[in-house]
Amino acid sequence: MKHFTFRWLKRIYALVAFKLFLIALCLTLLRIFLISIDDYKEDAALWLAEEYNINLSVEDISAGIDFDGMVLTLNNIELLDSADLPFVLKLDHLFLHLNFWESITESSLVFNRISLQGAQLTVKPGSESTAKSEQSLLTLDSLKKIFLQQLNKFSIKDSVVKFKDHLGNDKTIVIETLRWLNKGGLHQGVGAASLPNSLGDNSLQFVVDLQPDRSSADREFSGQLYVDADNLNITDYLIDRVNADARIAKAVLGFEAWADFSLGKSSHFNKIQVALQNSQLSWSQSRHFNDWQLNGGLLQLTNNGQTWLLDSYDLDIERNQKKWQGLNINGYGTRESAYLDFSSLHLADLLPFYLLGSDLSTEQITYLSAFDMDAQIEDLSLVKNKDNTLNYQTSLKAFKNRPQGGIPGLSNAHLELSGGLSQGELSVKLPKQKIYFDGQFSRPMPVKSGLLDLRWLQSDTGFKLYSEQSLLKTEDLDTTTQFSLFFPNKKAQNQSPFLSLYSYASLNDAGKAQHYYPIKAMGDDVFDYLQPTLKKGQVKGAKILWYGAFSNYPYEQHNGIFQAWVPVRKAQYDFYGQWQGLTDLDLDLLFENDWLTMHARRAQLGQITVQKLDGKIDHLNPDGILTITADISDDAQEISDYLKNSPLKDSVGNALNIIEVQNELSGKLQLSIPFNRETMSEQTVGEITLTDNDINLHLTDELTMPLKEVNGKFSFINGDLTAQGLNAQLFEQPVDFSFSSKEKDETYQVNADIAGIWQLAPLSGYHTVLQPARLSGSLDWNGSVDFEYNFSGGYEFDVAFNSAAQGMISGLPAPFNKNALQSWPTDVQISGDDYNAKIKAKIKDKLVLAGAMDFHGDSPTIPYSAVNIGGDDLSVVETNQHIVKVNLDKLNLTPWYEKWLELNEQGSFEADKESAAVFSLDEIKVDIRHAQFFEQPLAGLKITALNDKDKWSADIYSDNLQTTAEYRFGVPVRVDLDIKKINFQELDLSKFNADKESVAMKKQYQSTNLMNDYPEVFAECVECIVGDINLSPLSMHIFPSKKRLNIDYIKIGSDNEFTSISGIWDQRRTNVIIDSIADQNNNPIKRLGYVNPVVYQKAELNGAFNWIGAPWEFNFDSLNGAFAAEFKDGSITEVSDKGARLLSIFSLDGIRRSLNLEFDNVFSKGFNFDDFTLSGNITDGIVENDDFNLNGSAGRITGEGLIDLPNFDTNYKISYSPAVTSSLPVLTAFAINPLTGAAVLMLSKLFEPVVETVIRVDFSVKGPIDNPKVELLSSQKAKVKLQDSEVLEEMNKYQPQNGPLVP
Amino acid sequence: MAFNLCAVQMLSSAAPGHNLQSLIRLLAERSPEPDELVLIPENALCFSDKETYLALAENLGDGYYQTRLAELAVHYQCYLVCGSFPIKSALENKIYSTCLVFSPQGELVNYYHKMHLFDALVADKKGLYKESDTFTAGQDIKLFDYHSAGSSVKVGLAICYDLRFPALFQSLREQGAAVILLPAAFTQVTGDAHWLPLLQARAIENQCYIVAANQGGLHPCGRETYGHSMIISPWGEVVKELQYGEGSIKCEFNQQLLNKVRQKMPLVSHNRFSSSFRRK
Repeated sequence: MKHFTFRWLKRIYALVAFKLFLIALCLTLLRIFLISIDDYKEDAALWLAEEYNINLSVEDISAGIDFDGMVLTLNNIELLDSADLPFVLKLDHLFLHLNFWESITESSLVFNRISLQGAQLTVKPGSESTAKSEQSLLTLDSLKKIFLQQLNKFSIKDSVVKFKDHLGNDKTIVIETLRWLNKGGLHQGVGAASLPNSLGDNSLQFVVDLQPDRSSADREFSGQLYVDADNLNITDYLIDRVNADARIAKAVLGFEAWADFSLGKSSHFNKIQVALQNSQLSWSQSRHFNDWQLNGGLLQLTNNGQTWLLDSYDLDIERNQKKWQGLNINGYGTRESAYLDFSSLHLADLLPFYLLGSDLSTEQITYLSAFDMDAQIEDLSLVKNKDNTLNYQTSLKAFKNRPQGGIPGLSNAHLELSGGLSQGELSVKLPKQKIYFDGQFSRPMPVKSGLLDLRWLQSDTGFKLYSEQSLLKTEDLDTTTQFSLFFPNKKAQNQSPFLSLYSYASLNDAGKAQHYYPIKAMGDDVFDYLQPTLKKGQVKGAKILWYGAFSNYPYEQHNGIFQAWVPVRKAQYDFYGQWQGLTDLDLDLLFENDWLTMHARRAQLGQITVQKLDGKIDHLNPDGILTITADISDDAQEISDYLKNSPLKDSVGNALNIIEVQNELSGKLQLSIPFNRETMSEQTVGEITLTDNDINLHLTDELTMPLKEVNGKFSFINGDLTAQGLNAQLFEQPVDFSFSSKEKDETYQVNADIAGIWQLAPLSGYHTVLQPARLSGSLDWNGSVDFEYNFSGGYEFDVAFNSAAQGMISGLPAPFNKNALQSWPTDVQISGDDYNAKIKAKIKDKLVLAGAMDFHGDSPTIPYSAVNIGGDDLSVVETNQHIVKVNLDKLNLTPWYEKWLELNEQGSFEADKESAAVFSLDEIKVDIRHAQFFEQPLAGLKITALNDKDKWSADIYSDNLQTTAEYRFGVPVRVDLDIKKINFQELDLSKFNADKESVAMKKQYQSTNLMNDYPEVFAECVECIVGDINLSPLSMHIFPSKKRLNIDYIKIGSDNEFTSISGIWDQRRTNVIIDSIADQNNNPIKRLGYVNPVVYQKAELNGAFNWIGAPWEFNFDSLNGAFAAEFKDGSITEVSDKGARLLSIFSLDGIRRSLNLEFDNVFSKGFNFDDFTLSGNITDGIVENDDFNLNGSAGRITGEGLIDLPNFDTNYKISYSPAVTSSLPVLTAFAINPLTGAAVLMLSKLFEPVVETVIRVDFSVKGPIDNPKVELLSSQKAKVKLQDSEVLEEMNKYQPQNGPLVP
Repeated sequence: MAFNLCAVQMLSSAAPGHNLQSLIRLLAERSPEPDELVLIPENALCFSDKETYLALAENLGDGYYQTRLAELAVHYQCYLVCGSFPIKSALENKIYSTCLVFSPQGELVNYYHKMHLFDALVADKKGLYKESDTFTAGQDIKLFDYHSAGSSVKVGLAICYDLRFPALFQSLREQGAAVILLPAAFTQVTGDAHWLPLLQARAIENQCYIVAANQGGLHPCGRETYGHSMIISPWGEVVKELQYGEGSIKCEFNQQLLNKVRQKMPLVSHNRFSSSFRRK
């Protein structure tokens, strides 16, 4: 293009110069010879127009004479023509050298020559393409004619040609000299030209020869051009043409060129030879300095008008002072196409020139340079398009580049590049290699093969690179990608590179996914987090979509899209820290803009089955947080184990050690794991749904609260648990509870609130220990538990329960009996740590308890306790004693005794023995204003019992019971009773006895050592009254030996009247010996509370008895023994007390009553006797007696028979022989005939006193002992002589002086 | 807040549900103030015969009607004293006639089994009254603490026929009673003859407030009771009185008046006898 323009300019210049020269010559002559020639300037211009067919404007004309003659000088001339003339021509001076003589001779102006000075030819921009008007064509033809035909010769000096280059820059060529000679058909111009140069000398000599082409009818020319340039400085010429970033240091050309050319309609060079020499181009650009030197070589272009050939020879080039070996250029082509073949040409050699001439920005050049691209350029095809643009095609072998940004670094790639300046295609084939990335990935990508079909497009606003299909395979990865990447240029410098991309990828080993994470896009923290997470699995069909400007990423304003959907199958996902990872995971990862979501329909979290898993990273930046939410459902123990082995082991794990959940659980687990774990903490959020789960709350090692059927939810944030509104069954009772926990730096706190309304009857069934209380109704209670676990070891806890207890019914005896509508505000507080605990409890005004437990040893101990029954607060508690205080206004002990029996029957005491061993009481204080024991009131009962380690000492005082007692520990236990007073007259032991029997019957076992089972008892009782029994005074000593229980003595009474019992019990049979001496005031019958039908002055009873069983198990069935009794001076009296039935075994009173009834009421006041003896043997409860003998003044009673004690039956025969002579009333009663006083007197006076009377009466006594049937069997009659009888003596007392004897 | 004493007079039938509704209505009309002491008559929820009483009897502190009474106390935040209600005893065919005291919290704070059973001939349609056929006598004298505004007074309990046994009232006074409640179902005949003088005598001799809530009027069963529920001051004045029919009366307990009466005439210190309780 440049050469073409230049060639035409030179032609025009030659023609114009020639014609102007002639005109100037004429004008100069006229000026010389015609003083007033200026007056003819109009004529001169007219003449020139007519003569040369051109229009000129002339400012003035002068004439003068030089050495050649007259010179006509036209000054300030301008070629006038049509506006579409492609140039403007101005001349400072046109010298016309007039051939004076010839002019005269021919009568016309004839000029020898013409010369021009100060010519300025300014080429109009775009003139070549502009259609020429006819006038302008005429003008051009005229100028051609002037300079090539009309003027023989002309010269030009100090002239310039101005034009604009393709960039619109003004360019100037200085024509220093040009001498042009037209001789015949030959035209030759010799001149020198230069470029404006401020840096140095220029040297460009040229010679032009033109010859008319005789073969052409169009007066075309052929010619030769020779140019010799030496040190031609083209810096200024280039300076506007190179990139603004470039700094031209030196641009000098040196060459000789020969060219054959043709001028005409098809002007062209036929042959050009350029001998290169001493040229240099040095510049700096983007911190790179380029120095090219062309020392020699030859370029030859041959053109036949249709095709051309190009060859290079001996190119001697240095690049940066380094020889470039082997460069050779061959080519051929036409006007529209070119093919160049290179040898030893590399992309790296051409890129500097591309950058030098490009209009890329500094940043773009820097960016492009950073790729450090190189390849071997093998050939280059150029095709000229109809729009004069060029297309090219080239192959690049062994392409390599440095990775930069998102562009990977390739090596040994084969590139096919084609296109034009504005668009093209690039095909990249990658053999097996490692693709390097500029830190985009964690390692070089080991590519098995790659095929990238790229296209690029240069637009006004930038450069676009796109691909319909790019295939990339590695050992693990298989991708297909479509993309479009746009780089804006200066005109769009405010824009950011824009990427549209779709990629489809499969990864056969997800464990290597870390190698394909875009580190820079993710950020190091994100990558560091994700890098070790995916351990294995497969990715089939990952889809990546990018649409947006780089500068807008991560598209928070929704001004772009980045999505990467990665389906990972059968994967293993590991969490950081000690969290067990996910296995057997089908996970869909979706990277979207700067966040990541994860979704899995199933997975295994440790051993837990995950029903659904969602994960999310809100921001893929260093402050990002990975949040994973998992729906879990599995056995509670599995979940518990997982959490116990997690980083929450010290918090939630410990909580789960306390809270043991059973059965199937479901819930949500949310882990929030920040990328920057140095500045942010991991967070675990969970929500567990409990559905009929069982929970064991392990309050202590030995105390577990078994919660059943728990429903509700609890959640946790890290170690902080929260649960509200849980409900469960505790001891088959409903409870509502909530709890929360707090993880602190050094401790872990658990707070729980629990409440329930319990039905106590079923609860008692659940806990047998409650059964004696006979609880029923409902108990509305609530409590709180504060537990603090210390990470360094140990724990502290506070437990508080309270209840109004309204609704609860207690079947315990008073004062612990309770109805449902009574309120017993109850508070229980337990606090302590892992070493000890303190308990305080208060039940209304009923009971206050304080105590402690010590857990130091193998089994817990209770160092102290205090129990106040009766409501006194425990203001001061002795911390080394166990004290029970009872302070009540009234207390009936009988129901408590019954309760004791009940517990005994249930074996509760057996169970309590172990717990009782935990501690022993030190003191018991009782103060009961009104006590009652088996109906026996005890007013002001005060008991003080002290335990001094060796023994219990008790001082008991009330109105009716005053005693001291000692209970000495040992084998056997020893009990000492010093009873001042027992006066239990109102005592009703009926129930006690019944119960006693029932208890006693349980003792049917053989003891190996009775000393372990029975105490030794010493008792002294001054006043000893129980009911109607008065045993005062009483002394007793009973002691056990190994095989026997010995009754050393039981003595009731004083020295004169007593009953003494001694004996043994050998665990089979009890043997006792009883000796009793009674007097008229006291006797055993009376002491036992019976009214004795026999009164006497003295009585003795001796007996030995034995029976099978313990002493307290007396029974008739096995009773054996013998006894003897003797009564002196007594009588059998009438008794109505049923207690006298004790003596009914002999039916003495019955007999007396029978006699009294039969014989005239003779014994209405009793039956006196002097002596009454009997003895008997007892065999298996049957008493055999045959020596019943009672002698009295009224007669004698004898008897014999059997008494069947087991069957409560008697069979006795009694005979009564009245002593009719003993007294008149007896005689009267038993006499057959009624006697009057007079008759008797008469008898006594007149006759031997003989009276017919009953002398013997026999009775049978049969039937139940307590109510035998006494039957008169027979009576014997006889005449009894009264002589010397007591009767007579008595009758004498009734002598007449005393009046008549009337019965 | 003062100690307010209230007596409700009812005309109860044999139907407990109906009587309960009547009571609810009467309380709604009265709308007791918080902590007010409200006494309802003997046999308030059942005025009938032995069989009905036995069928209605509940265990002490546990039963539907006791619960409803407790709820009423909670509702009005008052002390509600049910003059008598059949309560089961340990005996198979005998029950207690028990006065039940419910606190504002609904708690059965105390109870009193009627000690003197009305076995008497009355010159009315019924003629022979023999409560001992149905009831067994209580053995304990009972008082409770009536709390209001941070202070309390002791209140003694007696039922109907107890009114004729001054030793009981004297014993209550000895144990600190300032107020004695007497729920009753005094017959028309005996009431007309003795009701007022007995009440005044018990108030005067023991220098206590007497709150007497009686059944009043002709009952559906045909029996007639005297009514005339009243509140008598320690000086023996009838402060409030309601003659016949259902309704309620109320007056404020005046501690100063009580103190003044007792100070001016210190009967307790002058007394040379003491009451004694004889168990049967």
